[in-house]
Amino acid sequence: MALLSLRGLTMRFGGLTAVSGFDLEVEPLKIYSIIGPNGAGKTTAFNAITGIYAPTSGEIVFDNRELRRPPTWHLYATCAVVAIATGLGLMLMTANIDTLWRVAIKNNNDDEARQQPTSAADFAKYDSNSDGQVSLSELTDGAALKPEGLLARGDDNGDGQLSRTEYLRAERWRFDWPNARRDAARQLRGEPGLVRRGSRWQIVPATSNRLLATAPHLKQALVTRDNHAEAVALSRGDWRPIERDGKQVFLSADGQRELLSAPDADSAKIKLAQLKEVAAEQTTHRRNQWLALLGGMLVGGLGTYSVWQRSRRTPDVIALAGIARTFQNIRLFQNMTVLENVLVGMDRSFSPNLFGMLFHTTAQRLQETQRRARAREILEFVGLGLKQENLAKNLPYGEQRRLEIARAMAAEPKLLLLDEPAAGMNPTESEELMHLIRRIRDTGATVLLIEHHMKLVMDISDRIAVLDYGQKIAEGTPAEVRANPRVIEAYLGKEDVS
Amino acid sequence: MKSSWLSLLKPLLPELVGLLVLLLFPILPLGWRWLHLPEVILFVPVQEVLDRVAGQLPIIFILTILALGLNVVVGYTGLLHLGMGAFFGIGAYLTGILTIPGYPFECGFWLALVLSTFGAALAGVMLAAPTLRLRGDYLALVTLGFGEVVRFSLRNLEEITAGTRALNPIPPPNLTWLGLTPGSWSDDMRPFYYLCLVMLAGMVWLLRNLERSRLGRAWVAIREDELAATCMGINAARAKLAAFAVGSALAGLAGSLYATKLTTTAGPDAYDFNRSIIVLACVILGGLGSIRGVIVGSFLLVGFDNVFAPMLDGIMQKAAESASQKWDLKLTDNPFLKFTNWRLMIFGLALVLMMRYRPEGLLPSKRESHGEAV
Repeated sequence: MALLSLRGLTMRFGGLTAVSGFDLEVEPLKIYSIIGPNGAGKTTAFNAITGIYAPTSGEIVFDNRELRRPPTWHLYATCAVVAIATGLGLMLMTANIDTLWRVAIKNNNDDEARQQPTSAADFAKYDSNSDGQVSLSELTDGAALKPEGLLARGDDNGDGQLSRTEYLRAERWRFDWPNARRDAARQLRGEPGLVRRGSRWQIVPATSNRLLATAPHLKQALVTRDNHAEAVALSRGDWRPIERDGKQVFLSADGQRELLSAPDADSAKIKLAQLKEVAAEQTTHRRNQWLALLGGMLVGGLGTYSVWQRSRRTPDVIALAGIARTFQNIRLFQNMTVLENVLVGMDRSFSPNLFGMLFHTTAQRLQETQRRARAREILEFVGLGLKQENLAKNLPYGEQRRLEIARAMAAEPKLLLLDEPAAGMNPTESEELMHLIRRIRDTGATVLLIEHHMKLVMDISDRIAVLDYGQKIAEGTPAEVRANPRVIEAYLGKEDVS
Repeated sequence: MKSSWLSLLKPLLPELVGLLVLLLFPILPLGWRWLHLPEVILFVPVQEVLDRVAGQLPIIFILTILALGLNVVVGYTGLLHLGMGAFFGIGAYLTGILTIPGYPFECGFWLALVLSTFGAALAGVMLAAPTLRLRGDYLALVTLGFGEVVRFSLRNLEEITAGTRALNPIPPPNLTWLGLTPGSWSDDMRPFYYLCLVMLAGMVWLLRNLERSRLGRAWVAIREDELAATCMGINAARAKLAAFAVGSALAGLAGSLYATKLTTTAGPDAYDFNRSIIVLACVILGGLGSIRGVIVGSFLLVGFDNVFAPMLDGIMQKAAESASQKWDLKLTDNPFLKFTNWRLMIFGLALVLMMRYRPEGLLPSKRESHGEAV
């Protein structure tokens, strides 16, 4: 069974065809070579295999599966979270976050206490507003004002006065959460809300800055607001004022309560028109809000999914499946040490436990020591045992090549792709390299290499494929390829008959 | 066993000495009082200077934490980030919103600190997720823009952030379990000094650990060669997100401490582009990717800004006054005799010289030492 099979691999860049219809079957535990003149598309094929490029057409099957990131529940969870977040974010934007905060948060705390009271007498003025909270005006002297908890915490600075902070931190002050939730919901639905301006309360629609009514006290304002909300709802239907005591009054649906009144028929008409306008605004607002919510969810969810879809075949997925490679132009981590380069290659074998990484736990330390020992073994295997602490950029060229191989081997690949490993090496070095490649094969990896160095290729390869102008022109054992006239033609040109 | 511990501590010697000096520092002004040493040595009013330094050191610690956060993104991962001030601001404002009386949350300081840290990290992830594909100049522009967006949002969300008036007063941390009353908090700088110092030391320790772990190596690998790193199986997107999250979390933590120190969120303009650039300058001056360098860099720069410049100002002012009286000159209002006005020029000059003669920073990171099994 083939470990890697390329079926009709084609790579086009614009009008340029780099590789066309490349078929290759790589059997496990063999050494394969791809040779060919410069520009034949060998490195492009490597890049396609390792996921740097997406193939224009054709299949790459490794270990009997296509190399794509599999969908996991993480993906769906992320999509859902992003969708909900974008949807809610857009919805909040249509509702105006600033006003929402004002209506839901600022109106539900003791607004007047924010005006820097300094003494007990000052506090006495700030009557707590609506529900059964202890009214501060019931308290007469400063001593009684100081709650137990405050004294226990030692917040008293000894001058018989409470700072605003001290007052607000005392147990007496409570934020009205249920009310805040109701106000927030009302605002989000586009119903009229309460806003404090100076000493009066204003009833304003959530959707515009028009003023519906004002009230001097919170209790009154709350009633007016609810009446207005009901009136707006009723104005959608056939709702007419009736005359009572010389005034035009609008009654609630059950006919029991008076929601609004007007001195005469004309102003009643104007009021009704205004209510209808507010109702229309509310409808638009709600529609926009739903659109924002659904649109945001759609954009967020589908966007995340399509980004994921596009990144399904990335180099890291393919590397994790068991293909490691080296590069034609050496791409080491120049400013890291030799040992660290190998450790990066072993990245996947470390635990992803962030807690361990942050606190350097014993388990983490043990793992680190083990991996370092393994990295040293690999470095000794390629003959760099004495250079562990050098920076990669300070190594001579040949050793950099070997380090790249060591780094790739650290990933424990099933298939190792070597892109011109002998480039720039002298005969002794390439001889050593040949032995190294054989030893790598003996450790249980399959090797696929691109090489121009014919002696090396012919000596170690089990099979050779020859590419020319992106097309495979020959494949077979070294002896077969050497005898193939098309190969000779590709390398040396056609004999001119003259 | 003992010798092995000592050998472990040996490479940490500069850090430990620095920590010891800073731990002992607040005792110095007192020692001066007890030992009756001369008040003025070589025209320098020692007591005054020590008090000033002690008052400014917590700010220096806080900004060092911020610089360490930026170092994760710029130094390790190599992503040019010009909007760190925004995350600093997010941390400060989150603390403000969560703690000030009058808003419904009123969390304690510790909870607010944690929530600000995580909130800023979340904001970092939200910024990083759509910009993962950008690199170099493009990412720099996006982060710069994000910084401005945050600043203007803070200014314009008037109901939430109180616009340019800033949220205040942020209550001091509750340290009664340490036997400290909130009243003593404002008189005595020591509790907050030690709090910031412990935070800084803790963050340095965590970052040191992270630097030598899988994640730290992945960050540096991405900086060195992203393609090669992904071909080794590193999920570059995830590593970059982690870098942004960690960096922003540190910035949020610093912001939270900053707001608590000042007892106000200090207005949106405290978190502008200038802040981001100064912090970036600290990182570059000290040495990209080197914790020790970043600490030295920010101590030098912020110390110059907050301690040295005002101090020199005072001395020059006094000299100018006495000279004016002596020779009947009008020197007191001369803008050229005010050191603060020369501050940015000297700052810029130092950076230019630095880039010319030591572009790798004062204390560049030494990767050789990382090979040691720790």
